[in-house]
Amino acid sequence: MLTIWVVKDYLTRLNASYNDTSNNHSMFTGLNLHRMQRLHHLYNRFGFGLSPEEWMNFHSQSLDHHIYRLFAQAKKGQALETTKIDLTNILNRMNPEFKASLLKEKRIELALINIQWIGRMVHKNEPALLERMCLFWHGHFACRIKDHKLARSYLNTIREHGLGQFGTLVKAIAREPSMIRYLNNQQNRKQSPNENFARELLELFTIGKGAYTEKDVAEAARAFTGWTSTSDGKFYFRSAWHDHGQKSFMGQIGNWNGDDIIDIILSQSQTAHFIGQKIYQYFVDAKGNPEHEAELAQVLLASRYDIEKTMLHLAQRDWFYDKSIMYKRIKSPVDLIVGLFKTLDIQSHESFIIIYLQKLLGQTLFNPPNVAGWPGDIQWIDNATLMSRLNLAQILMLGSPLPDRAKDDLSVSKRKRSPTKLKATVNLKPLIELGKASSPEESIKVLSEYLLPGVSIPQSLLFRYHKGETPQETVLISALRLMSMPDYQMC
Amino acid sequence: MKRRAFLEYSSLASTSFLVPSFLNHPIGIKTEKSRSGRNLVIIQLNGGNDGLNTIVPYRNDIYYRERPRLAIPQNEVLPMNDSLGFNLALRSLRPIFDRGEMAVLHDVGYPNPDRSHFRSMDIWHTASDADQYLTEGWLGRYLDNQCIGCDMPYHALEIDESLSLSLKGKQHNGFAMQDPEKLAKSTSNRFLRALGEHHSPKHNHESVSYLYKTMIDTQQSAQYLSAQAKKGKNSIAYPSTNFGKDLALIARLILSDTDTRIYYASLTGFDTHANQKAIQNRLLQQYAEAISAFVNDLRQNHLLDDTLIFTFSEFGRRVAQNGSNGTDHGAANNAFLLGGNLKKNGFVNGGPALDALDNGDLSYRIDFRSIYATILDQWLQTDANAILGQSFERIPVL
Repeated sequence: MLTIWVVKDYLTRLNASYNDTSNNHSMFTGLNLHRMQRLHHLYNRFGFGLSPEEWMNFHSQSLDHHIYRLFAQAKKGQALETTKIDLTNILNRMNPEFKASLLKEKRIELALINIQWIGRMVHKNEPALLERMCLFWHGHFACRIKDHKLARSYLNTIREHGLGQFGTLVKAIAREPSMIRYLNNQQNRKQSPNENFARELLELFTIGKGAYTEKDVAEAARAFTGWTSTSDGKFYFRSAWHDHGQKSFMGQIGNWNGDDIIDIILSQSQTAHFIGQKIYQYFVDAKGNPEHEAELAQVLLASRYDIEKTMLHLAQRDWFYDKSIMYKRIKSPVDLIVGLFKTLDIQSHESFIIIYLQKLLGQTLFNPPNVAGWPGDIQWIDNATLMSRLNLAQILMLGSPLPDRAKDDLSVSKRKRSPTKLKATVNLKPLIELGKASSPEESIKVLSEYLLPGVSIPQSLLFRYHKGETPQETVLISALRLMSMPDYQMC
Repeated sequence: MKRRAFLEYSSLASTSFLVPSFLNHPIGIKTEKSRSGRNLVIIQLNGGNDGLNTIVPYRNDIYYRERPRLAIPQNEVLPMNDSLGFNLALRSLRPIFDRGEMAVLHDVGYPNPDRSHFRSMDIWHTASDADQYLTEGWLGRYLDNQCIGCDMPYHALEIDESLSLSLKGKQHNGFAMQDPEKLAKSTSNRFLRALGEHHSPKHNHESVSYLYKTMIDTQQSAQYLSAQAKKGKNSIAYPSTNFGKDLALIARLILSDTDTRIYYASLTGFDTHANQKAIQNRLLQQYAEAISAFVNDLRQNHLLDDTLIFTFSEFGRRVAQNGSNGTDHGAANNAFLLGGNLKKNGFVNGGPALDALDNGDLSYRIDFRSIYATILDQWLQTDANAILGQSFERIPVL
């Protein structure tokens, strides 16, 4: 019932400006559809999917053209600009109460970066591949960041090197104040080494468990002593805290510093295997495939860890477009949110919807569960997150109340149970345009090619309750129902 | 019997045929289904409760020296023995303590304690070592490996909008529900219900099967749980706080003989860096009054002997107060066990070892995983070592 009410309400508002009911037919047949699906798959995994307009317009160019487009666009990525107001000075001389309220402002700034980033994932003119790489590296070099300046610096670093040399990226990450603080390198001194960063560098960021000894961890920690950050968020090498002595790391002896350690790690072929595997399991299939992972590792080794070359190699593999791979991955919350923003062409929204949805679905940017990143795959799904996911398209259209979720907000002493209203203004013209057809059945066929490729649609169930009285109603009801199917959670 | 009650509300005869093939081969040993009828209720105090101002070492000089303004004066403590007393906010728990239905464990923690809320909570949730990252919770692993009769999706139920890591396993998850009516509403979409009823899992990718199974489980559980929650009647008035309502709901589900064995609830706000006293006292009072109602409700219905309540927080706070009349993140802390079937009660291992501080923090004397191991072994009667992956000393309380 809800669905119909939403649809009717929406169309009443829309009708004044939109009255075209001319018929349309499925534009893809046979071979074409298959080609379009490969393209869609490329954009799902190397970007964030296609809007209805892109789906309708992209078919005239070849897959190779689009691969080229994605990589060319990625070179044009801009750094996130700094905010105009500098709060540091003000914060330093004020009474504690006032400070507390302004610290809240700081949280607002962090939220603004989050929203800005999601905006870039959604927007068609932004470099989708670069945003995807940033999200991937954010999960790989997982770091919880509360300070907005540090968050911006971290994000700009992974933007700058996300498709560059992996070694350069690791060395830059090791200098990021947010990472230095998160993994206690701030406390890593010659007199009392702290191994936290060195251990995760080996275990999670580069070579993986089992390829190093405890002695290697201790020696690497010594090499990173004195790598600290200043209070205003800059990397600072404190020579007096650094252990300048000889270290024996992975069988090599020298007066190593942090960069030397990273170079030694990268000279091990196991590092290429570890990163190749990570890329495969994120971009291709969470279950892994030793042969294809080894292939990516080979490319990494041969190119001296050139990430762009590795990703390009992947985009050009036939096995990347295999039936067992396409549309077989569970969308991450960010995939789902960005995908819905593109599909429903969300025009305006209360800015905090974006943060709220991330919390609701279990993936808040700059706030991964721990240094191992988001586990992903079926771990995204429990009964609560699934029901939110299934109802999400409707919720966004309805602006319906949703449960407050304060689980990871420890500052709240009393859990609020007042519902939050989600308000988004959608533009469904592109979707209606795409779904226009000579019959309801034909409508569903065209829509499901875009929304649920490869899924057999239970036509009789779709229209069991209400078919809609006009073609437009039919299209919208169908679209909303298709987007509520569990299969829509795949990409 | 209860299985039949479940089926009354379910539109499908059985969900087992929907289980994707990878779920049909559970790891671990399954023995005969045992219907012990025992309930485990876990209460999580979020933010790091200050254990020293909860159970007060009111004769200890170090305590008063380190907390010149924050220590609770002797005349404001409810003495329970000659060295330890309750914060007055806990007074409603006194009759329960006096009846031998409460055990206090001091200095519970783990090696190399982490001071981050999230990380430390992860460690408690997954029962990992401090430098180990696990993606499954200890109760999730129980559901995966050892749990008999756990085919019901709500075998382990968290009263919340979302599911804690504790209850997430590899193949099985616990179930999250804040309010049975809201849950029922979220599953009321007729199209999705019809889809669930007509779903055939035959040709699906296993991830898709998993999504369908979770959806169908949720739809069916929603109807069952909201009916059970209506059927149960509390025999005692509960405080009208959120936490009081959560425990009243758990009690109603237990009273209506719901097929849920593990309940999980939490109380938030214990991160008291500033002006601690008023905040903590209010929360402790909420905790104590709700727990007291819950215990009395169950006792009155002769169900307290079958119930074990375990309360913990991710860490304690530093012994010394800070400059803003609060306390910062610390290490070891106290934890409580309540129930009608405790082998030992009272202050099981004495008071906090304030004379053996590690850098200003209480050191752990009981690894929290010893408590888990004891609960798994003695209460849930399963193989704790298989679930925890290591062997921990058992505590003779159960």
